[in-house]
Amino acid sequence: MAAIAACAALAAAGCNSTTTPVAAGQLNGVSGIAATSGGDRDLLFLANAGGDELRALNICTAADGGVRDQNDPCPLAEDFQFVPAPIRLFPASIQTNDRPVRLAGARLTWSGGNTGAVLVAGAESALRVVDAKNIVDQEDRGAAALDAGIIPLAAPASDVVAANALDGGLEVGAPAVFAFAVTGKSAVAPAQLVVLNLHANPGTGAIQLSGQDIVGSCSLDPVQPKKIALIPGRDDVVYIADGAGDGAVKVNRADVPAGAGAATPCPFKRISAGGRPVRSLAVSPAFTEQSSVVVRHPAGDFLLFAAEDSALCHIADPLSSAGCGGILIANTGTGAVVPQPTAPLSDPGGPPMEPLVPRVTQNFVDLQSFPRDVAFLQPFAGGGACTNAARPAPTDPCTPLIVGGTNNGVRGLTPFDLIGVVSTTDGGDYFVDLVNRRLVSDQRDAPGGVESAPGVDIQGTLTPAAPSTETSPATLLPIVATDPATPPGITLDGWVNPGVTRRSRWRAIFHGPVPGLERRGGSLTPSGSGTFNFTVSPADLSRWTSASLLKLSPGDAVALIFTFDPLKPPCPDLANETVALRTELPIVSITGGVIELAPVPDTPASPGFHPAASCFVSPLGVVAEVRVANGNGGRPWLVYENLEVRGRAKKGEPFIGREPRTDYAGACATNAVCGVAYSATLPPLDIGLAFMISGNDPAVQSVLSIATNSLAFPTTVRDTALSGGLAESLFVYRSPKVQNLIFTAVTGSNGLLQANPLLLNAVGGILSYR
Amino acid sequence: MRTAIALLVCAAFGCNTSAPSLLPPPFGPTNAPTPYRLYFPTGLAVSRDQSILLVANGDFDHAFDASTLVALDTAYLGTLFDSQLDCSNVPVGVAARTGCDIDLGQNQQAFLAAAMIGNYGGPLALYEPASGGATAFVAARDTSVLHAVSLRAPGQPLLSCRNHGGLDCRDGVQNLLTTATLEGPYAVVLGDVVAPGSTAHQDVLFVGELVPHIDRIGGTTVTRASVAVLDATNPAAPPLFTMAASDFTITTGTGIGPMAFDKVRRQLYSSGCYSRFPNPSQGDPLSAKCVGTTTNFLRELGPDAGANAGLRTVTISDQIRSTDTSDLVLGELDPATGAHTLYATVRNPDALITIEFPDDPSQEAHVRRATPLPISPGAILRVPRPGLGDLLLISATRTGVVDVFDVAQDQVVGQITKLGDTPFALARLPSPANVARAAVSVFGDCRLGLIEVPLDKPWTATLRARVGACPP
Repeated sequence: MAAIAACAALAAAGCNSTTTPVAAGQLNGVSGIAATSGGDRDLLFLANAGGDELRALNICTAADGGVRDQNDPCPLAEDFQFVPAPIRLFPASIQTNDRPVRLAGARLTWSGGNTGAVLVAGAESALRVVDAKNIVDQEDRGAAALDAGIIPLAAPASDVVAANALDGGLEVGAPAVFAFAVTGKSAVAPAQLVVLNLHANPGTGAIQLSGQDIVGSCSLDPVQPKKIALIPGRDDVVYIADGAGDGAVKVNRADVPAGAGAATPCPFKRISAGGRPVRSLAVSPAFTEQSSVVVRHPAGDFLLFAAEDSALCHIADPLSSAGCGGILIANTGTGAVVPQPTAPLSDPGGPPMEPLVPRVTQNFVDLQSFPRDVAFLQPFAGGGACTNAARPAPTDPCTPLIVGGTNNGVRGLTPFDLIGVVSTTDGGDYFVDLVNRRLVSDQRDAPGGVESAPGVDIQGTLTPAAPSTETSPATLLPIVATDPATPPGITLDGWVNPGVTRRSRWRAIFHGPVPGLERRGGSLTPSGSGTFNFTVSPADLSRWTSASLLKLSPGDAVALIFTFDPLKPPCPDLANETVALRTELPIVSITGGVIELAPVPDTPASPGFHPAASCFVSPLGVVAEVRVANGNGGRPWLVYENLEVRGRAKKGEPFIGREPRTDYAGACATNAVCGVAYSATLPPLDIGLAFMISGNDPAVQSVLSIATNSLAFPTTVRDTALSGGLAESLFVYRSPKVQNLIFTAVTGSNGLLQANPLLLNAVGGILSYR
Repeated sequence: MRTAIALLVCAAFGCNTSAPSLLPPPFGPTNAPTPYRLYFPTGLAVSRDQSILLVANGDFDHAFDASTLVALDTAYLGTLFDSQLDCSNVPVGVAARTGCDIDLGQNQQAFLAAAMIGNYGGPLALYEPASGGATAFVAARDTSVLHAVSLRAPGQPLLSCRNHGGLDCRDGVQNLLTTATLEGPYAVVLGDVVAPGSTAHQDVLFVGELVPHIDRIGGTTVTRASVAVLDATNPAAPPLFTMAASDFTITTGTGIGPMAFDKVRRQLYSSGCYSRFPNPSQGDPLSAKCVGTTTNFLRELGPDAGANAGLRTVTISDQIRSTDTSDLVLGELDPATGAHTLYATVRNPDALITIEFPDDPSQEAHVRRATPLPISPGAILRVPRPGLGDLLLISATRTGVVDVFDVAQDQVVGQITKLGDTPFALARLPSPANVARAAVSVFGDCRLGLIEVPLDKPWTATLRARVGACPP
């Protein structure tokens, strides 16, 4: 029993979360993250936006190989401890500006060694500067606080980054470092890119920066700059996420005019995200595809996008992902989204990949998580750590990650060519296998793992139940894969598709109410030709008649509730209409906001509806429930996936519920670890579920339901105690001592996650600062 | 004998045990007039001619047996703006020297009038039809009374009771518990309905129920929340109808907080979650925000269907995790896509979310954007900026700030601090060109904050003055 409980708890925690809470940070709306040198150690700075301050975490950097170097000046007792306040029980509050949200850490050198500057962007038209070494000197040596300066800007900065040099994949200091900031468009200035040249006092190491350190600027209009990304180790090219247009723009530093005037437009090249605005982006480091053909990519070949919905998402086509956000990969060479898998990653042609959409299960339904920030892990390992069935003889470094622990129980180190990390609105981090263009799976990607196919859980009994006299009640069954009509490449019952089918509840409602017209007030008058005109508000029903999934049309029906003035008794024909919504009147025509309804004759079983003309001395006030019935080609079943309409169905006709692709699970382009054979065509809009209704239609409004399960287990890192989610910034920290330490600001829950990709299965591998 | 005389004297003077009534300033608590004051202010509204700022005092600590609706002179408040002080970094207390803290006891010219209403008033709605006249509505959630105070009624003082004139409006225009079984009325929103059988638009007042009504006790206790719809031109008349704002299965009979009426889509949106029995095992029944919930619903009602309006729920938390909604404000209709935007401040996480209603009726409302906000985001004031996109001013009750959110930049671009304890409602004041001036009721400090936002440089938004204070 205890084992079952533990297993359940593990499953609830996403199986990766051996999370150790650290309640020492007094974090409040933690947002931006940056690291720089504090002299004898690194400091990881956190923008504590809710407190208008920064926090700083001490990190010793010397590689110890398990044995501490006695000459390391960094006090071990302070390693991974917050820089304390004068009352050392509490973390230091490094006061900056209102609502600091973005940080950049520049690694600088002076005659005495290393130091660092932190640039802080918040709710003011300036960057504040923090001298990192001075923070350490205050902490350990009682030094006085130094004013490191303010850099005025034309408007609040959307982001700021520093272009630190790299040595062996690790950031190192330099006498001068370029930094870049972007500001949004305002009434007084265009959107701007600002180039700064940062430096420390070569004699004292003190940081003192001002507007004089702006060395270039240009106008970014019409770009709405959201985030900046640099090619690791380079300061000559800047990529800027466009939060209003399409994708990102690339600007060469050499093309930015000198000075702070910013009147000249920045010459830029656009990197498309398929028409989607982008919230955040990351530039790929150097990595190697090590499958059948070895391809070495220099740093900067690809961008990882956290794309947002454009205004067209679900507008042009309610089922399509066109314009909808997610995780995308773009090729900086072609300036376009990379092709979908099975095509090589660098292939300039082919249909572009669809956005990957992380999903989290809640209340037995897969819910979408929106990507917030993205980053890359650095390939660093070699030899045995990079060896598996897909790469029996690895030649170059790879990115190992602890994967597994779902229903096959195996958990271990799996090598990937390159891993991207994505923080999301649900507070978790997800991992992207860049080469295969899919989310890392705890099942498929675990050592020896085999991918499960999505499935159908049959639940569909008729509700309410058919009367006992009904010999053939309506049923809903998935169409089997052996059906002659099964499209090529479909191998699973229900025609479910990996990467498309999600965990959902599908419902078919017989004579279901039309969304938006469930209850509408209006007037009923005789038309003069034996029918009735129901005049409804709004005055134009074309939204419903033209909606591709609804197609309200003649043959559908309206059920009425009469609203009588208590002082005016109704005519005898209507006095008996006391059972609201009892009778359905067939729709004859729809013109503007007028629905023409046919009378219903009496039958031996029930009275109809055919009031005398004398009942209409004045327009009758009625409330209508508009229902699907025999309109739209006689399709009386309205099909929902969870709460959204997926179309209309009728008995004996296959219903094919289409959904946008949200992952490329099972698309085995280069990774042979793939357990199910899938369609190679991978249409962007594919089948989520196909079913058929058979038997006799019920006599009353009824529901048939069926559930699907994706059986996808994306690898995640999260602290389930931080229930609010809404993660923001990601930061991947590296030093001689630690590779790829992932820090995630879980802004909405006032927490900071620290995850070591090599220790996800170990106590201490995931820390949660609060 | 002495005892008998004493009893007779007692009887002669009407001896009884009822406590003396403690009327709120300026009507009490003594017989002599006392200065006007702000006392736990909540709802704000500005008259159409922008000359008067109405403030509903909440009397949160029940120091008095009633509360007040006061009228402040916006011209006087304008002089405080005109001094152009920057109080954003001036702590309360030292501000007396700086001129940032305005003692209303010494500046009674700020007040134009007051009328007595019930305690625990919440949001304020000011109805000013084109035909003339004006009525301010505020609901008292402890007594279920709807208060209606006329502004500039003929033959009456500046403020007077809507139903019978005079200044003592404690009886309200109607008790909604009696007329509509509405308990704990809170949100009041103006709108219009087209009744079935009619084509005329009728101005109405929607009143939401914070405290769910108990429909059944025994077995499973069933509660229900409703929205009462009143004729705005005749608020003393019984409600035109009520609409069920909760159901048994999804919203489980919980009460509602903020509301917004969409004239284009003809929908009343409501949100929030208040349960009748947050912990039924402890003592008397209470009402409180829902505890332990992981869902956050947006509820839609079509009031044109009258009492038969059907409740439609959108689970916001299925898209962006959240457990509660603090405020709802409508944005503009997008003429290109037909989509309509609704801004909402949500809790856990504390965020501003942008909800879009697609034109295609088969599509659910979508959360398009989410931006983290300081702890406890509350009221939203939308400030249109032609050509530049809207600004949203958002109060944060626990952190005592107002954030300035630039919709076009999708970013918090400014933050106004040093407002005090629990900034609550916001109202736009008369403003010079290219500037938005606003008042924010600072509930816990019994004051108003006067804030100024340059429309071209919203990041330079400033606190100009703090007006009023709680008694020491």
